[in-house]
Amino acid sequence: MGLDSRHLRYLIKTRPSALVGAAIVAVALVLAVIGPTIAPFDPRTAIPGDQLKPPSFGHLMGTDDNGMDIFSRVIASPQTDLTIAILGTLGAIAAGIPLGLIAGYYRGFVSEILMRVSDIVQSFPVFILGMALVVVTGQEIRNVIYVVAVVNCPIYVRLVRGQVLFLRERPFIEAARALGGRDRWIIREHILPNAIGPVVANASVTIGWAILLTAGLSFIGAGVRVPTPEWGSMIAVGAKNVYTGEWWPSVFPGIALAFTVLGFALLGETMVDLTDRTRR
Amino acid sequence: MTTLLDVRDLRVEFQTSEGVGSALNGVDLSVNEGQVLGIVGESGSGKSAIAMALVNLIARPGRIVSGSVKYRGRDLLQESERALQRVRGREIGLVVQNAKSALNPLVTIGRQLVNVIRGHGLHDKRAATERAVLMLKKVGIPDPETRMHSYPHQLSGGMAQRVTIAMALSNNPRLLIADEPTSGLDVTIQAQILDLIQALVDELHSATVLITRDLGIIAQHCEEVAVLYAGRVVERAPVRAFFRSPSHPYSETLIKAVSTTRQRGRKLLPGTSPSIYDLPSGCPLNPRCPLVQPICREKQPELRELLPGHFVRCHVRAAGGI
Amino acid sequence: MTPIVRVEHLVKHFTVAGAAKPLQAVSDVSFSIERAETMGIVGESGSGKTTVGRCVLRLIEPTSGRILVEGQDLSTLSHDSLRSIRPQMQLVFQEPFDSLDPQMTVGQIVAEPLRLHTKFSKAERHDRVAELLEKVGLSRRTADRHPHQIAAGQQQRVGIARAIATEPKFIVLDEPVSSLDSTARAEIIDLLIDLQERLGITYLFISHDLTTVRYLCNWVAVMYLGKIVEMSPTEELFEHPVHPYTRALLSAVPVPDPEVRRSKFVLKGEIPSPINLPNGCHLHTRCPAAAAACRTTIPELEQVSDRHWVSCIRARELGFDKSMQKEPSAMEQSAAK
Repeated sequence: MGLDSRHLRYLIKTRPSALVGAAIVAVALVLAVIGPTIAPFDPRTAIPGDQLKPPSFGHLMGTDDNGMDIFSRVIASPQTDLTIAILGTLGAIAAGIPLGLIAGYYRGFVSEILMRVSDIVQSFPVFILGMALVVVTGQEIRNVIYVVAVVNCPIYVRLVRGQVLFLRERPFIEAARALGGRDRWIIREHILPNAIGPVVANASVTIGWAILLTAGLSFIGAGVRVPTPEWGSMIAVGAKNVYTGEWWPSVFPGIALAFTVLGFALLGETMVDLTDRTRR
Repeated sequence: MTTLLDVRDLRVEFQTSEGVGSALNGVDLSVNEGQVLGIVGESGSGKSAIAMALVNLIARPGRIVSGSVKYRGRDLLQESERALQRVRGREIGLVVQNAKSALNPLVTIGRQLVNVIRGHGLHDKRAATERAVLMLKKVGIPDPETRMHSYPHQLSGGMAQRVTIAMALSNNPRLLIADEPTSGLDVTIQAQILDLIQALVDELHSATVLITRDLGIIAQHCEEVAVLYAGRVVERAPVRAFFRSPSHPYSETLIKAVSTTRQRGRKLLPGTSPSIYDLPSGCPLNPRCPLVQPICREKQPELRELLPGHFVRCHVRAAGGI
Repeated sequence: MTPIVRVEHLVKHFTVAGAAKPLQAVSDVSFSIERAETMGIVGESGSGKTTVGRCVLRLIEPTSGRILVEGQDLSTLSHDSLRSIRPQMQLVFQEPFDSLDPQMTVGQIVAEPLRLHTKFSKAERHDRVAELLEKVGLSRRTADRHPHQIAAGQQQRVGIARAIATEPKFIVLDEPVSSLDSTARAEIIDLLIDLQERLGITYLFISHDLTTVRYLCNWVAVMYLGKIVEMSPTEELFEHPVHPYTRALLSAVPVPDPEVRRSKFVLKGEIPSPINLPNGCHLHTRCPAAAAACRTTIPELEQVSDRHWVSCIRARELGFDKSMQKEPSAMEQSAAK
């Protein structure tokens, strides 16, 4: 990509949002690895008698109505949420790239079918589709990952196809043909390396949305099951307490969720801009 | 011969992710009334910045750092935007490269032309429309009354360029600045456009500044030539004298490069023009120049008059060296 | 001497969506090129010259006609056989930057033909790439750079290095220097001449830049709207042009010498679209010498003198244009020293 320190310095000066995003993502990734380990209380164990305690020094974010420490659960959630979101996104990309390459390079019947199927998948409201798939396959983390992958796959098919359509007309592709390269050679050597930039850039944005999807599914009870710490389910469990004035079981996970998704989005947006060909 | 345009020490910078680029590094120029001055340069010479700088239209990430552009005594770089708008389009006409991108794609050419005419004094709509049709006819567009209703994308490149010329000349400017007006056009169309410009400025007695990278255009259509290298004028002379005996080493290479007789091992300057982000110290040609002396690396040469009207910016040549 | 390249009655039509008639890009073009010579094809937009270049290498499928390279008829070959002889005939593109894969290093770009057509080991390829880069005047270190990190002139040298990697006998150069500055242009042309002398490559040089064509080519064909209108050795064409289009073209080129003023032979109007070609002679709508017969008669290429062909029914009347002849100017004489 040709980024060097001079470019980075310029970036820092003109795009502070990217730095904020990167910082948030870094924190989330760190927590995903060590969150449950450094939690002051075991995120899955309820302490009877400690229900619905407001935030204090002992319990920084209070406790929920099962007696579980909210702070511990909030910092343990990234492990669940990010695992699902990242694996799901990787799945979407792994399927989307070859399909996109085929749809873009070999136009005609196959391409049309692929695009119509993508259209159909994308025309379903995301949560409805997610819910339906989880109901059909069973409510397990593995299946939530599949849902994330399926729901996001068409995005990558389209993205890659778009790149391929643009690249096929470029003179350097014609040059490769003039050298005697066959289709497979051209796709592997020239089209794929050039198409991948926007894919990587979009991954961050997709991960952000995937976290939101996971949380959303869990909120309506179709995603991760209790007692696995997960922001969405935590918000759901705490929702009923808001009416009685105990706001902390829902609000803290909600804030954490919002920040994390924002972080991925900010970072992703900058990455997309950087790899956008029209900028050159 | 009154001086119409007097440019002194014009400096323009660009601030980008690559750093600070010095596009123009102290350009000195002058144009007299009715004169045709050609400015020739390659990429990196600053020629792309100069047309806009002359009418104070440099936009971010570029900015005019210092210098003066005196048009009839008034420094355009110090004038208010309001005063400048009265000068641009009326006293100074501008023709740019790539006509189609200079025209608004959503408005008919007739309307655009009429707007230019009305904006500078002739308010009456009917009179302005008549003048617009007259201008289209003058620039050789067939069937001008009908063509008034065409959109820019419906015109060929040559036609679109004629329209921009019509716009530039519609208010009888005293000075026409034409920035590579024929790049991208076919050879035969190019000839038509250049002849057209020549005929019209002769008729209006306008002065012309013609910016190009084609020495042929300089030879055939200009009276004076200024050679631009690394943001400065390195040679300035009447055209005949320039081609007969070019003085600056860079000018010599430019002329050799367009020779049509095959020579064995013609000696062109090695290397390329310096990047605007990384100019050499002293004379910017020093890394490539066969005449280089120690002073060339330390000090920038001044523009010196070798013969009447023939100026060169070179330590060695100014001292009479060969 | 059998010519290395021979094109016979090449025709290429494109079907255009929404248009009733096909776009006649190339109509019945024939020519031949001798070994180690340079043939130039000049023309403006719509002339078909780029299409001819692509058809000669069969990168575009001709509608009809024969293309013989080293005696082999390309039009009858299967795709596999065609691919296997590609190392013999290469192409250099117009836009240096666009013809290089931006993700690859210069070294990888130049090595690609070697990976496709040779069994060299990585080390052998590395050496050959270094050798090729030096041959085109680039330092070995350029191999590690990316296209956007080097200047346009250098990018084009990379394109040339790639083209000569498999030691082709024939190279088509499609406006290889048009987008370059005049000094970079001159250097590349000098490089091409040098390579031709050292390696004996035959060139087909497609361009609209007459100055460069005159400097480089032995033999020139002028094309207008898909047809060759005049063809002869270079100096002959520039000194004694016959066809009105050639004359107009030559008189339109501004000569970089203020002492020389060519007679103005002007064509009126614009170039017609290749979808809607005029009847009879394609030039008749713009030609100052057009007669009534020009509207209906399609001219054929006829020989007007030894090695000089013209496609114009009034060729003999128009004769040779003496006003085009000139003494080398003082400028050129001193430049030649």
